[in-house]
Amino acid sequence: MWQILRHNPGAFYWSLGLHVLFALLLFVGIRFERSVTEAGGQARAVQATIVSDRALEQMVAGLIDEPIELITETPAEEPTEAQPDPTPGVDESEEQTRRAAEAIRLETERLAEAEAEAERLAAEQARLEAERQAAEEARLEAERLAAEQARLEAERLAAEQARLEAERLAAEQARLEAERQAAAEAARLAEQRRREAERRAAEQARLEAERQAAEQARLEAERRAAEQARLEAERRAAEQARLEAERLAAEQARLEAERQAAAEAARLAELRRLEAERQAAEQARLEAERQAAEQARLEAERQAAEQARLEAERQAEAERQRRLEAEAELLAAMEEERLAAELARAQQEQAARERAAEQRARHGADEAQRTLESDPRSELEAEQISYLTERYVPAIRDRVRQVWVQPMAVDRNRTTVVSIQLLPGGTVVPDSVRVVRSSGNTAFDQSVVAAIYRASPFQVPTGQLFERYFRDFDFTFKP
Amino acid sequence: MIRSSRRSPILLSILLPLLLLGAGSAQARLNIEVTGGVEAAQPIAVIPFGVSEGLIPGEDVAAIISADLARTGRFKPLPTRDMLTMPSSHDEVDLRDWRLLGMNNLVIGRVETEGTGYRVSFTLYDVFRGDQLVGSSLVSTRLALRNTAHRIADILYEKLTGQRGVAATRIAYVTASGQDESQILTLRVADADGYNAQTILSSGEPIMSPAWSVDGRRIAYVSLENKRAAIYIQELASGRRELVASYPGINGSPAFSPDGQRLAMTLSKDGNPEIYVLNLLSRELTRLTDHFAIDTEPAWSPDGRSIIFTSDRGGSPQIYRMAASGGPAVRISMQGDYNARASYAPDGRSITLVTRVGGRFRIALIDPERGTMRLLSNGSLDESPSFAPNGSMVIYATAHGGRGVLAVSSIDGGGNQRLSQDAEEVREPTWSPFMN
Amino acid sequence: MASFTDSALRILMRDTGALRRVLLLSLLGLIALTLGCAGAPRTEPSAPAATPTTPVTTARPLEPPRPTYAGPWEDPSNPLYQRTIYFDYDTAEIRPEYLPLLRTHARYLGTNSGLRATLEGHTDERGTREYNLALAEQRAEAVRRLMIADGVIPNQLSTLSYGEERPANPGHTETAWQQNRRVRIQYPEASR
Repeated sequence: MWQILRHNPGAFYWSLGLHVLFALLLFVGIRFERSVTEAGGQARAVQATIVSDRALEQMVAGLIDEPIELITETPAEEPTEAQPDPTPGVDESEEQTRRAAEAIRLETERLAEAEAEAERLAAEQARLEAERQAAEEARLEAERLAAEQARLEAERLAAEQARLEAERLAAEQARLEAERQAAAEAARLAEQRRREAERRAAEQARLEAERQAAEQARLEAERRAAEQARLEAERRAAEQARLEAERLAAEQARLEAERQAAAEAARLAELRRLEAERQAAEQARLEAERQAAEQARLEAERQAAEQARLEAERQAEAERQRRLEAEAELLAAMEEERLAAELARAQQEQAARERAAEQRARHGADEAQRTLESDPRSELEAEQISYLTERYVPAIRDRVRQVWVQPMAVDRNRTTVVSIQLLPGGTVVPDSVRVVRSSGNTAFDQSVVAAIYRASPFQVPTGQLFERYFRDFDFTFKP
Repeated sequence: MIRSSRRSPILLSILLPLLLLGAGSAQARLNIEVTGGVEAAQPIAVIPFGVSEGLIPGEDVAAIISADLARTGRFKPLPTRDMLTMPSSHDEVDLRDWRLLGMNNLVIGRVETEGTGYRVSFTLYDVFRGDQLVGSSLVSTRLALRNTAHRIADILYEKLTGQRGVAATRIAYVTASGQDESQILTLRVADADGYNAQTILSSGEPIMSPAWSVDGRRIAYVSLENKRAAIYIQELASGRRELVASYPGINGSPAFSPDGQRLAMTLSKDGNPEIYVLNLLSRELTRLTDHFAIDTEPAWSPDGRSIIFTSDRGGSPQIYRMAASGGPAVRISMQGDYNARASYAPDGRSITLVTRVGGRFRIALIDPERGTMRLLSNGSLDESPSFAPNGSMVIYATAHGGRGVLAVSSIDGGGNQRLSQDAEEVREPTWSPFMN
Repeated sequence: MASFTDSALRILMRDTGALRRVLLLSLLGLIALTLGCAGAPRTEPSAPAATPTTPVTTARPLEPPRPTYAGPWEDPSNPLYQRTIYFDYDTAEIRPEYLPLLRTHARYLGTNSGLRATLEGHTDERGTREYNLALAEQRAEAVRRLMIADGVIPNQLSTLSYGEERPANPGHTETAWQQNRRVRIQYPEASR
């Protein structure tokens, strides 16, 4: 029922309402019937009182004639039986008649009397009968009523009983339901309590666990901190030791470095000293040149004088050579002629051979040397070359190197090749220096050209040797 | 002659290339090989530029060019007082005069009015060969005449050496004046010769470690303006700036990656100075080092693949190298007990740094492949070396007359020169990349 | 402002009769605050103009008199008055002689857990600036760790590295260098 109420309260209320309605109808029905019965009873009693004898008689006759009702049967039998009795005494004498008459009169009177009496009796009888009947009727009525009452009472009681029983059942049902519900509720509450208890217990446990964990963590943290501190201390100690070791090493290294630095410093100082000397020399040279420029005329004169002096020297040298060569004059003359002839021929062939010669020129000196050695015709030239090599070339190279100031930080693989032309006496022909192969670095090429002009004049041989080798030749410069 | 041959075997070897052409009677052509001339600055004469009648340009263009060329260490301009003549047009030039003075090159030019500005024409001569190597002209506004002179110097330098010039680049540096509470620090950007300085930031708190972006448009720096070190990136054209790192502890040593997308830096937010890389696009921060020692002063290799930095993990500050994505670090500075603030040359083949020698802090150059070291400066508190974008020079800060000044050193040994002076103490120079 | 209130309260606690003085100081503090706010920010980026920058003349407000007392560290007879410890060259290791001093400060901070202090690290001018910035940070951090180990709550202490940028002695001698290699414990100032 609880479930019905829960799930379908409408139905429940309808059911409850119907029950109540039936109970009400039952109750009201019983009371209504009883009140109607009572009213009928009273009306009967009034009717019985009003009935007259005659009417009663007629009614009784009617009842006798028409013994419809069981109730009228018994009172109607008594008068019928009493009537035949007086009828046989009326047949005797005059006297008999008088007497008889008297007797008749008396008889009549007596009869009348008897009749009255009978009537009275009858009336009384009737009355009694009526009363009896009424009583009987009342009794019956009462019995009926009582029965009815009893029936009703029984019915009422039964209904009441039923109602009570129903109520009891309902109550019982309700009680059971209530009990069931109570039990369910109790169970639910118990469950709830259990859960709550469990939850509390769990919470308690959790808190405890947390507390323990926290404690644990704290202890752990402390332990770790201690450990950390210990490790830190150890690390520091180790670090200290390491640092100390490193410091010693560093100190060692530092001493070494200082030693090296000292050595480096000494080396640098030496370099600087050399550089300073070189720069001083350079400065002095430039200064001298500037002074030379300012005294260009004087310088020109000086050069002219120098030229004259050199010329004189050269003439003296020529004179000396002439003297030295006097003995071999003829041979020399012949040799010169041969050389001239060879040169002339060579010049004829030169145009044709120029390209091939240029290519061969790229070969190394060794190969050139080999070529020379392998060719008996070049023996004279080889002699000349070795003479030049020993006497003039190193001087020219040294002179150029001394005045060559090359730019800084130029790629070591760069090379500049220049061709130059000289006047007899070794002076560079103005504007004759040509870059045959550029290094690709303008400043480097320029420094090379500048060095050649600065180095001018060169110390060169005279005569055929000059014409043969130094009138026009090349320089190769490398950083 | 023979003596000289004996003296040097090299001489003997170069004696022999006495080449004879052809066999037999073929004409022999002499070729003398010369090597090993002294390396030195090349003599050049930059004649004061002529000006049109009544024009007063306000800048001595020739003097600016001379100074630019001299600063490279590769040229030795002739002082004006030693010039015998001062031609300013081709007709006036007699190259023999300059040959006599030993000049390799001659530069003449003119400044003339053009519109509201100037036209500056110039000619470079090869004195001995008589060639005109360059003949050109540039148009300039009145205010940009200095810069025009720098551009001419760069054209001449590139023609003669084959290397791009840096006269028209810029430098950034920090100045300091006053003491303690009243101290004023500024971040300035100037021309590479130290002129034309402009303040881009001023503060009462320290400013440190300016670093150029690869496009030269932004500068990252460290400022303590909020009473803690923080890294900013400032756009030069607009002056707008952005706070990129302000973690607890130090935020220092910003360095733009060569691709411009990342910024290496030093942070101590995790308790100890470590190297981090911030991706400037995604703002993702990556930690590269993890050591209880100091790790700082990161610098990128030119290819962006590795980072060098200063660490005292070995007990003293030394330079280490690691991959730009982190990982193990290898020590690359092998000499000395104090090496710091290293940065790569543009070609990646050498590294400049601060080293301590005999208690003095000096600028040095190391070759990480060979482990050699060469000193570039001669001060006692020299700091903050930074390569020129062509790798030919290093700028640094040094003490002179009791305060910090800027100086440049030519890598090839051309000597050291101080830059023009600001009135304040000057420190932490850093050279810009090539502009435009 | 908070520090000012602290100091005012402390003065009150020390000398209940000084209420009038506190009010006066409050007024001064407010004036100082107003003046401080009125001044332009000292750090300003500027776009490079085509013309050279011209010097700007700026009027400066008169600095108000400093409040007298911020805490016991300003009392020369108090051990807390000693607030600087010194270091050897190129190291962040705390010398043993400074341990008692640091413990004194740690105890003071431990019993005044509402008080905050800044540990300012410095180096001498030798070496590179960024390396020195890192070294000074390590020095301040070493002091911080030690004081935390002595019971100071970590958030009571902050570090600030100045590297070599703020020398105590601007000289270039060994004496100056010794004075510059330091960590200073900075308590809140009385008022700003």
